[in-house]
Amino acid sequence: MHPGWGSRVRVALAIASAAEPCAWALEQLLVPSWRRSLQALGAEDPPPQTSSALDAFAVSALRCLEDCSSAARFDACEDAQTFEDVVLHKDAGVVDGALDVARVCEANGWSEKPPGWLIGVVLNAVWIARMRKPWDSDCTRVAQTGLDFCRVLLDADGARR
Amino acid sequence: MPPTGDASPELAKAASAAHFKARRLSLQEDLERARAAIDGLDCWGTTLARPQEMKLLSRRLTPIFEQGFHGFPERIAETDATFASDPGGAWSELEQLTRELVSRISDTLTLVEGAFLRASGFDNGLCRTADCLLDEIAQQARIHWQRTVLPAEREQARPGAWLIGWRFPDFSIWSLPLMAHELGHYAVDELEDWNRERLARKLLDGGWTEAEELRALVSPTELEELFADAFGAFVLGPAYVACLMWRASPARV
Repeated sequence: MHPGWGSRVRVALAIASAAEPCAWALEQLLVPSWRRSLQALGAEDPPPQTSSALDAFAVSALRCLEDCSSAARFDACEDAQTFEDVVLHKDAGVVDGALDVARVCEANGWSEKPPGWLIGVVLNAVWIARMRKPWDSDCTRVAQTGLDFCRVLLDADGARR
Repeated sequence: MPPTGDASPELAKAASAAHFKARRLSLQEDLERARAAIDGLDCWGTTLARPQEMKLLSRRLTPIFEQGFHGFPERIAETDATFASDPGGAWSELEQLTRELVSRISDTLTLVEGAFLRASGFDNGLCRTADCLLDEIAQQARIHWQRTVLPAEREQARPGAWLIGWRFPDFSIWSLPLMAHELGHYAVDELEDWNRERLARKLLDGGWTEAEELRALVSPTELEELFADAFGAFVLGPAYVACLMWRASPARV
């Protein structure tokens, strides 16, 4: 059984805002977007009586995660801002083709990183791009570019093994 | 000549033994066919778009199969010896084995179906991408679970089958962050601090006072969902939160 979406989003936002170096994405994209969605339907954030409990849970969960896995925090999101800037501002908004993306990564010295880490970067870049322009059909191309890039990474990794 | 129902005790005994043997053999054959399905993965894929995927999956899935079915061939064989002295006990044991095998064989079907879909390229390579992403996260978080991501009817972590399901047919990169949530379910019982204490389980079971107020409002299952969301947001950042918001329906807050 799942708790309400409002509770889930609230906890995820709380974790991301506390643990996430890319706070601008939360402030400028994620929180306003969620509030707009709720307002459009006349809905509200989780009822006030659960809000403080959810926040307390998020704080506890964050402490637990930090205690358990000091190395687990995925620092890919920190570089996603750079990646996203390049993806969005080069060539009228979207990098055209996986090889261009690969070149961007190489130029940033990311090609030595493990493929799983780079996939995390790509994932944050494509999602941030989508949150910025959810109405833009270029989102499909961003996603395809990201996906193509993941395939290039995995094929290269497979060939290395 | 049809049976008359008044067969001699010897014939009745022989018929009963034959019946038992047929059922036992049937169970053994089920097991062998399930094994053959897993063993065949690396040679069946020659006409698929990504035949190399079958070799990779075969390597990942064979140990899972061996672990899941460990001891069954011996237990099935033992029922034959039991039958001679205790037919009732042997039948009970055979029934018990059949019940135990049903779920494992169902898991095997999911693994084989998923492997073919994955090797056909129908998933756009996303299951392979998800495996790579989760390998990285699991390594960083010291979660020792060699799971495999395969297409399934819904997103779901199935530790018994060492499987994370990717909901068929939603094969777009937008759903990739949800895999971190599924790993989060497994992390609940795996995450340890430097003192080897399992803090996540303690948090959910009530040993952590800050969450006390919430436990009165949501069930333990719901609390685990929230923890898996916290894990997803912690290891993936904005991509996870954005994905969750996109999946959410504001009509069901």
